[in-house]
Amino acid sequence: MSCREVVDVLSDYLEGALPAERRAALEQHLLTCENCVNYLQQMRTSIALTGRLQEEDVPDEVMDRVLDMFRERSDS
Amino acid sequence: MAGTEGRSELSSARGPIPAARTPDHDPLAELAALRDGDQATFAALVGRLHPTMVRVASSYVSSRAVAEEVAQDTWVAVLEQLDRFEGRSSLKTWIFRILTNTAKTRGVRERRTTPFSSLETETTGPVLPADSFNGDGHRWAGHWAAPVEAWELPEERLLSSELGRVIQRAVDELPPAQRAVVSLRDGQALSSREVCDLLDITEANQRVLLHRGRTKVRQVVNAYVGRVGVRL
Repeated sequence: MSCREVVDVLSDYLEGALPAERRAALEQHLLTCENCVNYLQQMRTSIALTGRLQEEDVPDEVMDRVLDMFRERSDS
Repeated sequence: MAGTEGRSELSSARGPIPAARTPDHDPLAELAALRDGDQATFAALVGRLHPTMVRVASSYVSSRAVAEEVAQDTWVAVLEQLDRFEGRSSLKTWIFRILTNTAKTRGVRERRTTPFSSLETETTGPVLPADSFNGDGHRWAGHWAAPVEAWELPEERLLSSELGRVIQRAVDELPPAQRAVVSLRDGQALSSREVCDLLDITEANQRVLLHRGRTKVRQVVNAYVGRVGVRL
């Protein structure tokens, strides 16, 4: 398996969606290719960082508006 | 302790599949608190979901402003129907279901076609620039043309709001279908099945969109790491 092929199937690998033979070939490649090991690690970090989208700020006026709606519901 | 946990999630990971993010809240307790009128629980829920709701809605409608309206209309519907929610899916998936239905309806009213009806432009062409790899005549054809350096980001950089904004922008700038898939899969940790159902796409298309979107986000982070000069 070449580095280009590794990059092409990396999400399938991370998703556990690669057939066993391809998976074995990819892992064999990783044993000897530091570049692809680094790329894989970068991909993992990038995916974990994307999880930080749950920490974004909601604009105050939007939060105030939906909290008002929530209070109205609770009061009724 | 939160910082330590964040670091282990971001910088360890040597196994083949990333560890699932465990929710930091109990879904049943959350639902009970919402029905009980607990405002702090509702504010936390809005904080976790609202920006992603706007981002996903923006894949269907004409502008960010309309997407914001769709997200707020979704909260109206959620509050109206909360007592009828039966818990057959997670609360989060149920909310995103209401969101995508609301966004689709709004998109139809705007006479827009959904980004998922024709995926060809988002799923063809090389994933990385062709010159990333050695060409066919090269002794090492198909291998990296330049070394891929490990990222060594100190924890304060990993958790910085600057990098958070870099990621937000990277996801916002993805083509619409990739944006929706990456936001829901990696941003909200929904399963591939849940995302396929929500967006009405096949498992194969979901994987291609996820892969292409993730690859672009990684490129943006890589450029950021290069700029801030912390690569070792």
